[in-house]
Amino acid sequence: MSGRTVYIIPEEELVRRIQVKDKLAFEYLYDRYSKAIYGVIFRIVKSEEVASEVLNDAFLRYWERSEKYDFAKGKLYTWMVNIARNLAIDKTRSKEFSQSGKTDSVESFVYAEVALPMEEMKVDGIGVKELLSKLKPDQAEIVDLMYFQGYTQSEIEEKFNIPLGTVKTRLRAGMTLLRKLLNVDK
Amino acid sequence: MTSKEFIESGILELYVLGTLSTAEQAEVERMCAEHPEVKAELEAVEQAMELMDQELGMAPPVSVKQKLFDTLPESAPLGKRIHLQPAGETKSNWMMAASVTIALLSFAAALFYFQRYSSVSGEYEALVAQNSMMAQELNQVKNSLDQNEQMLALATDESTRRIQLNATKEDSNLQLFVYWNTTSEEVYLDLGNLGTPGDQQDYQLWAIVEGKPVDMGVIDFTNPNSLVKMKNIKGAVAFAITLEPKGGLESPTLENMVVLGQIAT
Repeated sequence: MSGRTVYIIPEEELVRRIQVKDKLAFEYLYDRYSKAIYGVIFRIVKSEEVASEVLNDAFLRYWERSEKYDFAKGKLYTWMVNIARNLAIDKTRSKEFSQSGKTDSVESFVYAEVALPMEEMKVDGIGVKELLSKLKPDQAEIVDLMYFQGYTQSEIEEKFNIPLGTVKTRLRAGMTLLRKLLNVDK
Repeated sequence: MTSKEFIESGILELYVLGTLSTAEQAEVERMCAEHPEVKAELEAVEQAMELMDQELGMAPPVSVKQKLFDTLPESAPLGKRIHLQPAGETKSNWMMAASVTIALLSFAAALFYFQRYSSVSGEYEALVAQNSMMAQELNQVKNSLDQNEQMLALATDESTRRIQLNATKEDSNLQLFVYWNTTSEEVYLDLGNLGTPGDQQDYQLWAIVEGKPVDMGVIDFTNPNSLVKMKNIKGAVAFAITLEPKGGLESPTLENMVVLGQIAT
């Protein structure tokens, strides 16, 4: 956990201040979360240019729709990352994105083949590829597709003929193991 | 489905990834409300995802932040925003307004004073010129006064003799006076009604000493005063003026004598 920035504003206060359009609080939000969110976006769109655009759109949405955030439904980051993830996925499905990004070939979904851009994502010596290599291949594939590339369970079920129940349990097993590996579990 | 089965199904991970249907989301929320252990596990999954994303985070290009904050729209109701805006920002806006106001006032003042300066400067120059003219006039008056005093002193001096010079030709009414101080030997000529000669000629004053004419100099008409100082002389018995070529001669041309005055003994 060394090197992780310590943030002192409680989430509730941060949200309250952003909801009243406090730009300083919003800048704090950006500084605190832009790296994590950008990483998530980049892993889905695989382009710095597109990822920058999506990150900008995501933060604009946090600013404009902060009053929609509901503590009862989850953590602030969960709300933020879901917005960013959905924007990134929408981008990959747009016409302008059709020549790159996701393809329909099964081979391209193997996590090892997307290793090249992942190499740049190492932080504190940990990379996505390295992380996934610790998992069983079937778990790694689902985690990669869902968690890192933004596929939905029904897309995976449809395209890979993997039953929904299996997708869910593999994801659960893979994510649980990652939590232990990263020592982020409480 | 028990809460443990619910957790192990992997639905919480999907909930956190935001890929559940609305109905499934509602079910997760209901389970969380009913089972604290489900709620705790959901929080753990969320926490894990956040920390993992932080670990795997990537720094976005700096330009993204600049662009974002440059274009950030302010769509909140005005009252709310004013109420909770940080003091620093309000102050800087206020200070900006004050700075602009001060700058405008300073500019206006500078313009006003420059115009006043220009006007005063012009007046000053006019006064300097006027002063200079007055000084010149004063100098002339002073010179004139000095000469008048000299003349008065000369006229009232017991040693000064006033000699009347009369026209030598019948058709002329010329009349001049010579003031001669026999002690200081100074001679002044009062031009009277003598007019300027032509460009090629000069009037020349002569004194008769021991029967011979002595040159007293040509008459300078450039002096505005009617009293012209001539050369000193002693032992004169008469004064005469002749019209001579420009610059005068060593001896007078007697046919050209215009006035003559004998000194009464």
